[in-house]
Amino acid sequence: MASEHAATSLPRSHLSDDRLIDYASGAADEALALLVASHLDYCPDCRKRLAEIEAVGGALLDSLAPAPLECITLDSVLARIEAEETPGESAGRCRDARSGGRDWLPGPLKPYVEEFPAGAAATVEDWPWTSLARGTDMIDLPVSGRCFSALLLRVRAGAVGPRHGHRGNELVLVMCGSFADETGTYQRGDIAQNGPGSEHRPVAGTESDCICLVIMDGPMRLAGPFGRLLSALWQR
Amino acid sequence: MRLDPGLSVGQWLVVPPAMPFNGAMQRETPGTAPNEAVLNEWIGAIAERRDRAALAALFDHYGPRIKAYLMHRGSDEATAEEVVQEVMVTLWRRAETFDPTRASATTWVFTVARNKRVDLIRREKRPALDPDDPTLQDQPERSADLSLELRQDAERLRNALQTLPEEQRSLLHRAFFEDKAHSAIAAETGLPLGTVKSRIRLAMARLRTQLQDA
Repeated sequence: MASEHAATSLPRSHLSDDRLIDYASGAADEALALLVASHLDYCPDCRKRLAEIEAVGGALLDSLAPAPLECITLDSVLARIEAEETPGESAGRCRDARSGGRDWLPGPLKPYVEEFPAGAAATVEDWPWTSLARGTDMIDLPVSGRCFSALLLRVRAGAVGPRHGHRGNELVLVMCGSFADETGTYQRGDIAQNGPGSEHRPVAGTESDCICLVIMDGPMRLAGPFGRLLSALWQR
Repeated sequence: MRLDPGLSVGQWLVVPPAMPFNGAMQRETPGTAPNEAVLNEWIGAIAERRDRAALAALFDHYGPRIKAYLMHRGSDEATAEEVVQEVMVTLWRRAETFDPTRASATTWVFTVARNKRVDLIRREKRPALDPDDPTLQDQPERSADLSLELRQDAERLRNALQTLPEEQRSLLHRAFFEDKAHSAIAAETGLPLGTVKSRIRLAMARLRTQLQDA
């Protein structure tokens, strides 16, 4: 399976060290962690940089001034271990074999997809898409965290997505297909970043529907006559 | 490739500081801290023969440091110790999954502590990369050489950290161990926000160079 992917191109746009440090230190909120983890699924370069950053975290942990333990002792740890040791329990992970037809879906997103009403067996067409504009659908992902919201965005093959702007920051991870806008062309694994005040119009590649994971920390603003109405619905 | 244009500061969760930053970085004299080879042996001894003495050694070395990490990140003392206990149980139960060709022992302990903190403190889902995911693109080969290399890197990294300018080291420390927005760090240090971010990046770049030159 890995060799099958090796033939596909690797991401060309990446996450900054700041973002990776947020992820590595556990400071990232759920949506940012989801986006970073999903990009890492595609990107050996960022995985290597994350490993370096985690090594820095380890070295820093080692250099922290120790805070003496007051309540717990080795005995209390051992007691906990004995209480929890349940024979036969496996540390292995359960893999969703049924998602084999969607091997573009990054592992960290699978638990979210499995929680869709149609369940894990559903095809992408059965996912609970909400139409945003002609040829463009979205699914709001339930994420906690105060900063970013997360959604899946699908633009049908060759379709032109709605022109829109942002009041905050938007990070887009392409998972399937490709899209192009004023800032460039983005393929599987690539991350597109749009800052406050920017406006753009994504156009999906013709090879397949384009499905992206999008996180944003401010409301999206649709341009054009129906934009205001749609934006209002969006921010329900 | 486009660079992150220094987008937001919002992703740094702002939590009221529980402890003032005192810049306390313990500088241990060589020989007192277990080196990476010893740490590897301890974890290996747990994996192979459930060695309680090895767990005791890990507990003595890491317990107080993990507690300090949790308290820097805003946990109260009781919660911090609860997490230490959870981390120790995890080190015991998952010792056989420790792969020295993937990360050094220190790095592994750090990631376990980080994950436990997120699990226990925030009680919310935190999506994480599964390094065994078969869909990962371009998996590197693993070898025994790599394990040695990682161990040496970890040792070099400890030394390299000590040679960083005090300011960069302290900023890195805050970025990893304190729940503070970049903007809060900027306010406290009197440095402009852009400078805080660029110095953190600079510190990372410097550490990378030192590892590559070695």
